[in-house]
Amino acid sequence: MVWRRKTTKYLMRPVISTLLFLAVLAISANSSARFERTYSPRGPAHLSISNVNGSIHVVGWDRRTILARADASPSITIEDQALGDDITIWTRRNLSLGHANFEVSVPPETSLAIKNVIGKIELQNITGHVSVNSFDSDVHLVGIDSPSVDVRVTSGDIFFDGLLHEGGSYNLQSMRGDLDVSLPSASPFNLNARALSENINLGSFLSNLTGSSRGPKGVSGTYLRGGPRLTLTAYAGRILLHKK
Amino acid sequence: MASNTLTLTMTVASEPAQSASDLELARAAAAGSSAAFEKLYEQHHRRVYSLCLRMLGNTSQAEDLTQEVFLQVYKKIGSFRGESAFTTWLHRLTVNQVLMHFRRRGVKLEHTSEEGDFANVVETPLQSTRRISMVDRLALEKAISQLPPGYRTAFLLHDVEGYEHEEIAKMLGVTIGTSKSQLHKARMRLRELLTKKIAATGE
Amino acid sequence: MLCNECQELISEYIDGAVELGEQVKVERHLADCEPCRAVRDDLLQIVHFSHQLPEHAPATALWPRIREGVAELQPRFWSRWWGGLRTLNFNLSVPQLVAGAAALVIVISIGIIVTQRDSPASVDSGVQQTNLVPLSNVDVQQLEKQISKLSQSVEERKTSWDPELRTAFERNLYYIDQSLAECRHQLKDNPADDVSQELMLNAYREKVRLLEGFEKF
Repeated sequence: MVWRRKTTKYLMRPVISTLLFLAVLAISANSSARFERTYSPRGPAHLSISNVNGSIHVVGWDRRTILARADASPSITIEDQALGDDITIWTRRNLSLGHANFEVSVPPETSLAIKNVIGKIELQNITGHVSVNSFDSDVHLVGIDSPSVDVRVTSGDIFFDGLLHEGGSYNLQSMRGDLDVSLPSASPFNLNARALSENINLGSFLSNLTGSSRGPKGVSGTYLRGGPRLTLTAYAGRILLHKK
Repeated sequence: MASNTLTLTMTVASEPAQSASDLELARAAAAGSSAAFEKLYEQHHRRVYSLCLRMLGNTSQAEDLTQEVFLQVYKKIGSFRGESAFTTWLHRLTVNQVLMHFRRRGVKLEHTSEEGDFANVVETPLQSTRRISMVDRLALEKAISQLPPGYRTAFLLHDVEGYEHEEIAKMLGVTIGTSKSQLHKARMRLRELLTKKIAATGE
Repeated sequence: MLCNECQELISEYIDGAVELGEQVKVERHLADCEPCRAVRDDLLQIVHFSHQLPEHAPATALWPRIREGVAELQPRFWSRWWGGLRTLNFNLSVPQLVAGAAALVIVISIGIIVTQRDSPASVDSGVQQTNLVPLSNVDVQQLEKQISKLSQSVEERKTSWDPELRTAFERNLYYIDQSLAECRHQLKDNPADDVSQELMLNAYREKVRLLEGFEKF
């Protein structure tokens, strides 16, 4: 009996240690790495974020610094480079896809170049140039007051709610997804809308669209006095214009 | 006097009869009758628009969405087989359009807390014995428009439009419990708003 | 039962959706509690009046917008007639019938005139015929060449990708190929359709973008 108790006691320690070690390993395998950086650009900055899988949310705030945070799976490394007012953040991964979800706050006049493959992209309260290039993403642009916006996705809805600048250029394109644009009723623009399979619904903008050429797949024309170029291209999706 | 006239009758489709059922109109519209489609619009556009207006709280957006609903009706009417009432089918289509509209704008229906008045929905029991002596329909409409989107959607879908919690839960992607909870909170919030209004006007 | 418990159940109670045991408890509580009765009565009123909300009407200008939108969605004239002809189901108003008859007479007359010609007149070189190819073949060929090269490179790498990435690639490639097929189909019906041409060229470029984007993985 004594022999058995002693043996059990000696066996328990390595077993418990092994179990603890495995538990720590399991926890660390599932835990996220955190990235946090603050940048202090001197003037209007240009921020590029290049991700593969995960969400990217950028919001304009009232501070002069850029605060970039991300939660990423362990297989992902997030790197950055700041050269003057040009800031670039990108992800590196091993064979595992992993994910990285970005939450970034920027001065509103920051220009943004966002690249992703899979994951939602949301930009809010931005007055700098906006470029979004992704494949499988819903894109939400809210409170945008930029001189140029260029958004291209292969699949995903694009929602834009903002203002257009005189002489500005606004291009939204999705191969599969709806383009939903909200503009002030007094906002003039030159429209070129193409929808291969679904309808183009200009709402109450239609009545003041002049010089228009209209067909089942395309509408072009000038709203009010024209000016900003609004190009909307959808393939398997609708184009919807709403007055704010 | 017997008539020897041979009457050749050619039936040409004219305007649908006033009593034509929705199913007959839908079939005619699916076959290409613009008159039938217009009749369907005349008969149902108010209800579609009212739902959109109450859900969105904005006339311009409600009109745009109503337009979108009827374009979808036009495209899909061939698939309406009459297994359900046309109004049910139309209604479901309208609700789907509204929910898509919310989804695109990132309006979260499952979270209902907001800043200000709505941040702390009172969970403690109301001890007052004051009652709403008379619910004014206009006041109720106004109060509905003041609800946060999640409460408003639950209330409109259940109490105004008559959906069951199971259907609402499926539509909104929430649990039945959440749907019930949203509805209850919406009703309590409406009571609060209507009671305040009555207190303010001294009724 | 306490007031907070009763008020939590009050909505389900007025909807008739509480279990019998709970219902009894609620009713017992209501019998002795005026504040909770006040809540019950108010909610009953709210629910009652919610069934009587008035219907609103949109602006009268809405119908013309819908009508225009529908007009753009309508199938082409010939396919609607073909559909009707196959099922011998036409739905025509009197003016439509008259217009259709007139059109038929005109078509027959033209047919007679044309067949009475000795030989097809040589086509005026100023008039473009349906064998024009406005979309530059060179553009398409160059893009197809680029796509072929990129596709090969991607195929070689694809097997080592994470399955989720591979699925995303294949799904998006499928969407683009579907759009290209639709553009080709529409151009087959109408080779002069410049919108479809523009969209097709754009779709090719989009395919290049996708392949270049995934090539780096």
